[in-house]
Amino acid sequence: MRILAGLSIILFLFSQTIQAQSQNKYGQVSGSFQLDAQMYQPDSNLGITDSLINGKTVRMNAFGNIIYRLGNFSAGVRYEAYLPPMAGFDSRLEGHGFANRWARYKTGIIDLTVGNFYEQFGTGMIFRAYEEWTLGYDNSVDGVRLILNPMKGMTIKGIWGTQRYFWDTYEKDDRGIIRGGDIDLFLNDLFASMNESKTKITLGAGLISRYQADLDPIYKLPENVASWSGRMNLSHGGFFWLTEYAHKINDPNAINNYIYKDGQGLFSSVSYSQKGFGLALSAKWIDNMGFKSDRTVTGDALFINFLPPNAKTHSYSLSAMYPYATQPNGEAAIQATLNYRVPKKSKLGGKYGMGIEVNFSHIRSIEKTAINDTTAIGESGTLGYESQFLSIGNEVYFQDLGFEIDKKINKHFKLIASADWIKYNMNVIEGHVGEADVDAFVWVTDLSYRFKRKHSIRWELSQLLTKQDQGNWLSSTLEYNFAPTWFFAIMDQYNYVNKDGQISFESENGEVQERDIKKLHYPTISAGYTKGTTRVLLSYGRQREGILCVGGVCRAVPSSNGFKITITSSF
Amino acid sequence: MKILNIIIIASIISISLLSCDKVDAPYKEEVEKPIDTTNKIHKKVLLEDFTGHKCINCPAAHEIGHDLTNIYGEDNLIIASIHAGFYASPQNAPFDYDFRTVAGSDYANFFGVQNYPMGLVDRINDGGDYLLDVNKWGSTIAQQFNETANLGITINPNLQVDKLSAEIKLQFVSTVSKAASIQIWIVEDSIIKAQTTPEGDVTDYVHNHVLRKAVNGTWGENLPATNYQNGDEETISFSDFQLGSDWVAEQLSLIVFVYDNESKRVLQVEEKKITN
Repeated sequence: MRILAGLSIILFLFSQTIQAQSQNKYGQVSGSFQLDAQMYQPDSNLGITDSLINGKTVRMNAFGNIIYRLGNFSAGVRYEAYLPPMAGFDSRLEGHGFANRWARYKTGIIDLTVGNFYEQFGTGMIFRAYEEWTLGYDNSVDGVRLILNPMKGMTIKGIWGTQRYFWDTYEKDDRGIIRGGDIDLFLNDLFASMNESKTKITLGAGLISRYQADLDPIYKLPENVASWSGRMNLSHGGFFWLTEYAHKINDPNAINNYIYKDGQGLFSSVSYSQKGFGLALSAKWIDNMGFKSDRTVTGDALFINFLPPNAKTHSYSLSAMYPYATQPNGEAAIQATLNYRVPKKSKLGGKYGMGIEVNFSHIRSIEKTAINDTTAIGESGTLGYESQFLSIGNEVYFQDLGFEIDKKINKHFKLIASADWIKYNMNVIEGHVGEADVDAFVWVTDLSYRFKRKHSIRWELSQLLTKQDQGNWLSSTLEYNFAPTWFFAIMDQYNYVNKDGQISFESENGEVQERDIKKLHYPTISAGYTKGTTRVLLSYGRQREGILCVGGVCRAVPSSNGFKITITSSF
Repeated sequence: MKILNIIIIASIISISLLSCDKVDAPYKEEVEKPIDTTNKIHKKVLLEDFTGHKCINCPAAHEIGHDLTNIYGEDNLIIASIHAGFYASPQNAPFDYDFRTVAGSDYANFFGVQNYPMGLVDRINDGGDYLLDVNKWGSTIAQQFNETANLGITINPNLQVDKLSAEIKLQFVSTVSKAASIQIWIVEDSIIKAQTTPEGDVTDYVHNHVLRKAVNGTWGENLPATNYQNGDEETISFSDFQLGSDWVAEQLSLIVFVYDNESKRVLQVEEKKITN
């Protein structure tokens, strides 16, 4: 504890020192850092024993970005430390050092980066290099990126390099090399006849190819695998339409069980908005689109592409208990979101108006048929299966129907209330064979009371009701804010299961079985302090086991008990 | 026109980047991989397959092991199936048989096996990690067959009823100047017991290469010397090892390997059936 406190003070003082030094005539230094550390303690109710902790009572994840800019030139480094990584993060992250380093020269026409970079073509269906700290995920490319703007309305990108794989530096043939190009054409700038048009159109196309040596003695593997996409963005006033089609040639890999079928995907999103009203519809259909720098790797690493999610990202804890993880081997998804602002001084809106949001997501399998009578669907070393473009299968993977209202009741009170009905196919999403699908209903009320200009209290009460998995939950949070500096909160999540504390489920052989679930409280107290761009957050208590997803990419979060500190700062 | 030229040039550049290899059926290699036997003593490879009878993905790994022995020959690629961890725990019938061994559990703990199936190939350490996902077995084994052998191993078993003795000769063909150990295992083929598979529970699954016991302890025994030169020989023996009561002698083999004490890397491995 004393070590953590000391470390916090050092980091805070360091940020202040750097801030004072950050600007002078020789250029500008900026940066950001974050430290997350947790002290773990045994908790027999959670099954956390001393042997499980194994002496690693304190764990830490931290990063620091330092960026230097001088005119058209910039350069930076990213230092990371996982000593050891916090529970739930990939153990291969353990270590510390400069994970990324880069230099960039950018003018109006040319933008050249050498070293590590993040980039995306279109929606990311064929290529997206990005970093997500909360997942411990970073697939940055180490290589060269060239962006050209030869004329107004045209952007051409080229990339070439290898992707980050924890701390493993690239060695010959230990993973693939990726190279690709992308072009964006904004027609309204390119064609004089469209300059003044209210209809704005952007066309784009991208290509990405992976080279990975075939060292496998069993399969004949393609050493060069390419994926391409075409896309269009069209807008007119409040109307916006984005669509992208992607295709990938045969790419037998560990995700698709070494089948040789081509992959393809379509993502389309239409939205319309005007004052007080917004409607967004999106659809996605993907088939065999898992694409990695190393065909043998599974899990959250080395993805070349990113498949956009079609499910709402919930911010309330119980609503987010069953998040959706994208299924790259095939899924058909639709999502609709309606936002409406009931006008002020109307019967329903009252003095301040009222916001209403309705969200619906539905995701299911695609239809796959066997290629012949003797080959099972998905059998390795074959074409795998046949599927019709945009076909829809029978198995529901996920569904979420939700309503949310936010209403300012008077100058002191504000209320947010939501209700969600969620279907969650645990077998597919988490790979837990034999687990029953979860049908859950979650309601949330979030009441804020501002009693002085800077003082407010927030009370959140929510309940999750389900007959499956771990049964029912009740959650309550009481938070006091002294803006903009302090906040204090006390929270308890109670897994009260049901009256008997037993969950019935059907096992693999069709037998109904009972599972005892321990009724447990997960209390937490927390406090936060913000000063300028620096924020310190302290918490102590139990954390429930769960799944954390960002953009359809997920990691398991194990249960834990202990003290946690988070420090973030930028300068 | 200028725009068109740029688009054409950009397209040509992009297409030149975009190499594609379209593979036609059959998708599996159909020929055996010849092992370089120019030298009488050539490198053989040990695959340790960490498995469990309740592990639903493990039969696929067994199948890959089988495919690999078809490619390299079972005399060259030597497999040991090590039942350990949660998925190997005895449960209600038909999963009540205990395949686990003390040595197997020790290996799983030492090498940090948490997910099953998982493998070790010659116990090589790649960037601090010994464990190999099943998708990496093939390519790693292929690389190991390119290695040169330091020594050859000859096993001469002698079974008297249910007591096993053996004389093991090590013949060095290049310098080994580090502390090394010899490990002796006994494994059994064709054990008919239950296994969970993606298609359901199979009660008459054929379990092969099952580690039965480490004859000379979990980590074997040190070689008498720490420096051997080309032409040196060493003989190790054991006697009167008691076979398990439900083991079938005709299905038993001895696996013997020599490994570097520090890195754990396997220098050479050999397998021999205990009956003719």
